[in-house]
Amino acid sequence: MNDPVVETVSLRDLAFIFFKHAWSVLGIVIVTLLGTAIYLYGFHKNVYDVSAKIMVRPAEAQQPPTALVDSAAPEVNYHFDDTGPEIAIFQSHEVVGAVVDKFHLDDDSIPPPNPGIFSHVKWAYKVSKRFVTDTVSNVLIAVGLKERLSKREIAIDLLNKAFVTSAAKDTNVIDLHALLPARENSGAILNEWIAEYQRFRLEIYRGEAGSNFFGQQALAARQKLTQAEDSLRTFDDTYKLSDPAREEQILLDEIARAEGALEDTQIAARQVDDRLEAFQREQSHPDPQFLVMASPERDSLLGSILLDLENLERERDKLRLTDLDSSERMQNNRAQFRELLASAVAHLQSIAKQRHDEVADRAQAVAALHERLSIVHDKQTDQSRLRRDVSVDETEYTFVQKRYQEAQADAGLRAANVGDVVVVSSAVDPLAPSGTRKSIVFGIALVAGLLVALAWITIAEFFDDGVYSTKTAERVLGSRVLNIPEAA
Amino acid sequence: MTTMTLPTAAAGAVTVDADERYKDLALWICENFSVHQHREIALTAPVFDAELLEIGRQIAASLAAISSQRVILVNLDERLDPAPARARLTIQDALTVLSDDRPPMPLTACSAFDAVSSSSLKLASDQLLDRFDFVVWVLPPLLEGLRGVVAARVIGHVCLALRSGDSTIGQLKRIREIATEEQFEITTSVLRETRRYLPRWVDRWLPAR
Repeated sequence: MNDPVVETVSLRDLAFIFFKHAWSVLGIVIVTLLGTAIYLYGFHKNVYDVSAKIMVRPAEAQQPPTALVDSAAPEVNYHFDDTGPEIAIFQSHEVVGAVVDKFHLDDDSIPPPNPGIFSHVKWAYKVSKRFVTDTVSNVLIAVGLKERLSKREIAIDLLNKAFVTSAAKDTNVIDLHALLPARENSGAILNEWIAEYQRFRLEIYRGEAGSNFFGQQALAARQKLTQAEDSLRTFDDTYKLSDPAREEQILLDEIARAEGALEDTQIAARQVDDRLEAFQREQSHPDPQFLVMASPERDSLLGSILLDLENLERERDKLRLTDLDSSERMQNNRAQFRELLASAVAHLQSIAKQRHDEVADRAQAVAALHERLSIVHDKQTDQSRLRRDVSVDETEYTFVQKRYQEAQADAGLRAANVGDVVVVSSAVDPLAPSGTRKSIVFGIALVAGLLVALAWITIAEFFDDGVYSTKTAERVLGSRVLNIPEAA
Repeated sequence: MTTMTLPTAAAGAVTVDADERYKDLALWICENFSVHQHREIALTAPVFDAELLEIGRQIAASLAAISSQRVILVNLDERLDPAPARARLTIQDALTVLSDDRPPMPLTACSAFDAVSSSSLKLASDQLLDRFDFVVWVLPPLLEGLRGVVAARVIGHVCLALRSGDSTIGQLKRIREIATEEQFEITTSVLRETRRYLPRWVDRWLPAR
């Protein structure tokens, strides 16, 4: 006996099953479309594909052999196939970093919203999303699961990831694509990228790195030399040191004369001191002698006093022959002698003080001259140092300038062996985001939702053993089954 | 809507609003049972169905309405009777009540929980058939205990009350096996609460079976 349940499934049965789960199908499809809409308008970032084309023209050394070009060119299809290094240069850190720096792509600040509720909602969403992203990133960094990168490093990495290239087959043309998150200025970014790439590749291929190095060194040496020369000129202008050696000689002569005068003055002062000491010694003696204090100076005040003392001593010597020492004339002679001697001592004291003052003045003048000489020595030393600096800088500049010229000549020689890159098609801002259009995404989501719903129906129907129709019950029971529909 | 009055064990009146949906079933029963000379309908379900007594009432009311015959509804499932046990009317009580001088009513109902054994049910059946043109039995479920199966075997044929979605193919297969083993017939079934899943335009557009 055949199983009464096993029977051909008709289109009506399928439709019945489908409409039995209609609400489930509708729910799944709506959820799918709703999720797709949330993703597209909330999380999905539009990507703009900006493209350009460059052609790498090989240098003479890289050209195909003449024999191939002349005879078998159509068959051999010889072309320059060396795009790998070019792409590596294009994606080099220096090139991408220069683009990032020029366009400030590492500035990830969110611009303020435009007027309008929608813009403010979108701005608030971006700020919230940024907060969540930063928080998660900081947590990952804190627990050691992620390394902290600078904004510039992140921007360079993102720009490198956004770059897609493809080389057209059997040609030297390279398609460059950059998938950027913004439409405006995307063309400018790629064009600048290409310009940086061209500049950098020339530096690499022509060895311009060395030339640039020596150029920079020459420029720096020249600036250094100019600064040294300016310093020397300023120094000379400030201190008027046209001939420091002559000035030193003049000063030395002046010092010699001043020191000679000082020495003479000192000798004179010592002579006055000696005479004053002799006068004072004789003054304290009970019978002072004139000869001890004799002096060749006759025409001065001291000379006249000494002459008077000499006369008094002669007169006293004569009185000794006639008078007693205690006589009035003798006593008078001695009193006059002592008064004159006191006058001489006072005069000598005055002269001694004058001499000592003169010695002090001359010593001070000599010290001032020595100080001037020291200053001149210092200035001369500074001037010598500045002149030495100028000389050293001049030597360095000459050396570096020579090497720079040699490097330039070397780069010029190499230039003949380096291929050229020509921009076949510049990048322009794309008009629409790349990738699948939203309507197609929604279509795919609809189909996916229907497929999920179909899977759901299949699974639900597989496990559903219920009896929903009289036909099914009649097949199983083998008898008549009447239908009592739901009450209206 | 046909309104019928059913005497109960307490001699009260029970109002049944006859549902037009059961009219076709009553007509079918009248046509087919007369061929087989069946005057009893044993209404049962695979598992407990709280609405089974109401279905029995509707079938009895429809039979009484369209055939103008005397119909009695006998409930054998005590779970379906909300009346307290002391107020329930046994089948003998019903026969006693019905033997009064009053002319029998077109539709009568009673509970007969005592008539669960084969002999007593057979005796009651014979006695009821003497007084009524149709006897509508409401049996306990076939897949929950033996009382329903015993009653079905005594009566010899059953009418299954199925509920769309709740009754399963497995239950029906098991009932068919039991019917074969216990030698009773599944004369007909009713599938209730079937929903019209297919929209009318789809129903019209799809080819008929």
